[in-house]
Amino acid sequence: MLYRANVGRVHALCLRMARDRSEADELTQETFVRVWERLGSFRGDSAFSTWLHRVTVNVVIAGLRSRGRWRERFAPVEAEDFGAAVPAFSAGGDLDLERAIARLSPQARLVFLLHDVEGYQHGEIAELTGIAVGTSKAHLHRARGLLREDLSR
Amino acid sequence: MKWLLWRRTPEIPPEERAANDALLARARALPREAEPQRDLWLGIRNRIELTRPPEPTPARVWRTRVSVPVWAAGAAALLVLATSVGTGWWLSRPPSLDDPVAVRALADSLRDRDGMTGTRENLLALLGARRDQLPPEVVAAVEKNLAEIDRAIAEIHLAFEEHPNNAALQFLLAEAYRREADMLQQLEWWTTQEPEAHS
Repeated sequence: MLYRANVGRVHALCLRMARDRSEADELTQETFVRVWERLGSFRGDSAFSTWLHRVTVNVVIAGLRSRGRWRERFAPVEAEDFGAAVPAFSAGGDLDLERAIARLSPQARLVFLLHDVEGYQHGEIAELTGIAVGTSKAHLHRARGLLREDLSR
Repeated sequence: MKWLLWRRTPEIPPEERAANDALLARARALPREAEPQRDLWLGIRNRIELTRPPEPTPARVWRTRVSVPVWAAGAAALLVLATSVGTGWWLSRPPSLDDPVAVRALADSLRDRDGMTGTRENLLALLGARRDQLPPEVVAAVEKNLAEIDRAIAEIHLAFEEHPNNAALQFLLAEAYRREADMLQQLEWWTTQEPEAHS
């Protein structure tokens, strides 16, 4: 079933971007509703997982922004409780890195997650997010620098 | 694998490159899946059903429009009733600062919104699906007020962390829940009325 097979991956991205469980739940639900609505437009010229991620990224960005919570939700914050609030990430995971990622700016966090965690290339990220390839590279460079610095403390 | 396509650029100093490699290895090892702690499928299914295009004939349209609110109205009525009873009882017996244990117990019971969340989401989904059929001022008022109430509840919860036995906060929280219940009651009424009643 489409939902069961993909909910974990969609929810992980929503959770890392929203950094809030209930917000991530809401975004996950919105993503699957959107997928259902647009399933007819999936042409099969890309992997389904890529298409699903595109929908997820669109929902994460547009959804929160339209609700006026982009700055509030995505602004850099102290995220010491992030890992503790997310057992899926803290149990056997790399809590220090999760927290450091949570402290990144929204753009840097999204690019880092898509590139270094999900494995997308900059061209794909540019297509997914609507930013230029060079911008994606700049965000990744900045994200890695900040993460290295954060993790070395 | 896509990971293997990550190229090293010659401009990067060796130390930074090594640090990037280490960081990349840690990033690759992060879990790429996180199952939600509650089943989200019910809410998704309800929203999908609500967003199905209406049947072409007016009679069928009205049957479709009525069938879901009956279900949602029941849930809303239970929610409103439970919230009202709880809040009414609570307000009739305001906690005393002399009895912090009782105050804390009441606070904990009021904080438990898990049961409300699903119903509330369904009602909000209903509101979204019926947006075109409801007066715009009703939609705007419900959304605006729910957002304000949610913000207030979140702020009260934060204040609770520092002052868990503060009776004034208890009253504020109860009032916030009462307002939310009122809003949901209004929404339930609007979504179960004949279109003529909206005018």
